[in-house]
Amino acid sequence: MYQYNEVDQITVDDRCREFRDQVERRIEGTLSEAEFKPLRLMNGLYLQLHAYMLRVAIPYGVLNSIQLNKLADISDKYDRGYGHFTTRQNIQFNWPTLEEVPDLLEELATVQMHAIQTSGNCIRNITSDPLAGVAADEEVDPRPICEWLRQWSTLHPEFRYLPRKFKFAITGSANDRAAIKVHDIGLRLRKGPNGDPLIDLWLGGGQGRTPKIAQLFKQGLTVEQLLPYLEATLRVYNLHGRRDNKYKARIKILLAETGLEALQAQVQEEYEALDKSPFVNSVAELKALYPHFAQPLVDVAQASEIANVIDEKLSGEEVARWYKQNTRDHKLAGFRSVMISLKPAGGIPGDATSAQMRALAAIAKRFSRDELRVTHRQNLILPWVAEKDLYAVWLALREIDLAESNIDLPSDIIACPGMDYCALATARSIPVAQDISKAIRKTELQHDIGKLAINISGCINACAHHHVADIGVLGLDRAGVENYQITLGGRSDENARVGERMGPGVSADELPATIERVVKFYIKERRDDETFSLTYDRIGKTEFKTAVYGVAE
Amino acid sequence: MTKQLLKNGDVIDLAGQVSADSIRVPAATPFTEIQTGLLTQELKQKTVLLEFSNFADGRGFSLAKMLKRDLPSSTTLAATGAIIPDQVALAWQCGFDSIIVSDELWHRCGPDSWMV
Repeated sequence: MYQYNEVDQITVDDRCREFRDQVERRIEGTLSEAEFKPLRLMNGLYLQLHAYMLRVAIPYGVLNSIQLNKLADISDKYDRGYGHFTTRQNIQFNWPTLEEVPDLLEELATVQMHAIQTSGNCIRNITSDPLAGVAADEEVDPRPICEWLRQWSTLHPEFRYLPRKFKFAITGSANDRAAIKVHDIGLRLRKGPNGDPLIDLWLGGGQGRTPKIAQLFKQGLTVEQLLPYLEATLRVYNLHGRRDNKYKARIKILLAETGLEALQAQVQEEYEALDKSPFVNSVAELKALYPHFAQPLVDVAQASEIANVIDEKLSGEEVARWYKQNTRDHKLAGFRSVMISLKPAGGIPGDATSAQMRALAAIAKRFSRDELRVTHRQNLILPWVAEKDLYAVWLALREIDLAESNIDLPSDIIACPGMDYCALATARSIPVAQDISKAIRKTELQHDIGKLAINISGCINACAHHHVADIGVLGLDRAGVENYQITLGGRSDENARVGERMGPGVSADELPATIERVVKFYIKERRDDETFSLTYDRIGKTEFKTAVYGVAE
Repeated sequence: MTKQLLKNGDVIDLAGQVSADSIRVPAATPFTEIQTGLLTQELKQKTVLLEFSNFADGRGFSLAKMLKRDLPSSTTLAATGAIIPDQVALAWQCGFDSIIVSDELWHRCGPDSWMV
C-alpha cells in the first residue's frame, strides 16, 4: 500500500498545527462560529446531537495494522471503545471534545492518517472498489489513480469552498462495487492501448433528496488528460453550481439545469483554455506510484499444494458456509479475499470494538500482508489471505465474534447513525436495523434468500444509500412519530438505478414484518437464481406494493 | 486603516481609498462579463479588486485563476471583502497578488493570524 513521502507527512503535520491554531482562535473568540464551522468541517469535525463527531479518512478504504491499532487506541481514549465504519469507507468517532481534537489529529498523523476533507464543501475522501488490486474480475487496478487523485485533491487551493461537497468513486472492474454512478464523479478505468488506462468519466450522480444516476460525461480520457479535465470540470462547477439553495447545490443539479451537452461544452472550453504547465510532471508522478501497489511474488505451487490439504478442514458445515459466503475469488492463484461482517446478530452495523480492531490488526499482519480494507457496505476485508491460511483465519475471526457468514445477505444491512447520534436525522436507524435483522434471522432462510441489500437511512440525506438498495428504508418524522418509507428495486452497481417508492410509510413496529413480507414474496415469485431487481422488474410495482402492505395474503 | 497584504509578507497601510486606477469586481460576477468589462476598459486598470461577498463562497479563487491568464502582467489582482486569514495561502496559490483587509477584520481576527 501507499506510504507517505516527506511532502505528505509535512502537509499532514502542518494541517495539524493549523487546526490547533484554529481551535485556539475559536476558543479565544477571534474566529466566529460561522467562520470556524467550514474550517472544522474540512477537518471532519461535526457537531452532532449530543457531542462532536470526528470522521477520519481512510483513503480508498485501505488500512494497515499499525493504523488499525492506532484507531483502536483512539476509540478507547476519545470514544467509548468503539469505532464506526461508514459508507464512505471512513471511520467515525463519537464524543471527542473540541479541545482534545488537535491531540487526536496529531496521534493520527503519526500513522499517516488524518481527517482532512472528510466533510465540508470540498472534494471528499476518494472511494473505490474494496477489492481493488485483488479482485479476480478486475481489468485495471484503480489504487494508483485513487492515490494520485487523493494527492491532487488534498488541500487543493481552488476547490476548498465549492458550492457543496464533491464525491469521487473509482472502479477498474466491469462489476461495479464502488457505486460510481451515484457519485458526483465516477471514474471507470479500462485497459488502454499502451499499458496506461483509459478513463470514462460519469458525472452528476448522487443521492440525498434528489437521487440521480450519473451520466456518461466524457469517454476515454487518457492519463495525460485526466487531471486538467477534472480541474476544468471542478472550475466550471465552482463558478456555476448553485449557491442560493444548498439542496440544489450539487453538480447533479447543475447538470440537470444546464443540460448534458451544454455542460460538456463549458468544460471542454475551459479544458482547452486552462494552463497545462502545472501538469507536465503529473503522469510521471502517477507512474512513480505504481511500485507502491505492485503485486506480490508468490509461490503458486506451494500455495495450492497446501490448500488441498486444508480443504478437508473447510468441509465442516459452519466453516463451509463462511467460505462460500464471506470469501471471494482472487487475482492470484492460491489466494482469496476474506470479507469480515460487521453485522453480527444484535450488533450495530459498521461498529467494531477496540479489542476487535486490535485482534484484526494482528490477523491482518500475520495472514493478509498487513492490509485491510473498509467496504462501503460497512464491512472489512482481509485482501490477501493464502488458501492454506483460511481455516486459521476463520478460527481467529470466530474468536472475536467476527465470523458471521452473512456478507451480502439480508442481515448485512447498511444503516446510518440515525437519531441515536446524528443532528440531521429524522428517525432512528440503528435499532430499526437491529429489529429487521432479528426478524430476518428468525426465518432462518438467509442463505436460501441469497444476495439482498437492505439499506436504512434515518433522513432524506440518504447516507445509508436507501435509494439504491433492493429494499430501501427511509426514516422520516411525521408529526413527531417515526415513519418509514419503503423503496424497492434500486441498484448501486454498473446497472445503477433509483428504487421506486411504494406508498405511505409504516411505523417502526410494523417495519420488520413489512420487510419480511417483501422478502417472502420475492422468494415465492423468483425464478431460479433471479435477483431481487430482476424479479421486481418482471412482476412489477403493483404486486410488490401489495406485499408491502400485506393486503392480499 | 485598511491593510494591504503582499505575497512576500509585507503589510502596507492604505490611507483612505484604495488606488484610484482600480476597478472593483464582485466575485459573483460571471467570468464572461468580467472579461468583456475589462476588455472594453482595455485592461488599463493597474489593480483589479475581486470582492468576496462571503468567505464561504469560493468563486473568487477560480476567477483569479482564469483572470490571471487574461490580464496583462502589469495589472495587479487583489482579493478584498470577506476573506479570512485561513484563506490567505489559498489566495496566493490561486494567483492573487495582494489582499486588502478592512480595519475591522484585521483587528478582529488578530494581526498575527494574517501573517501566513
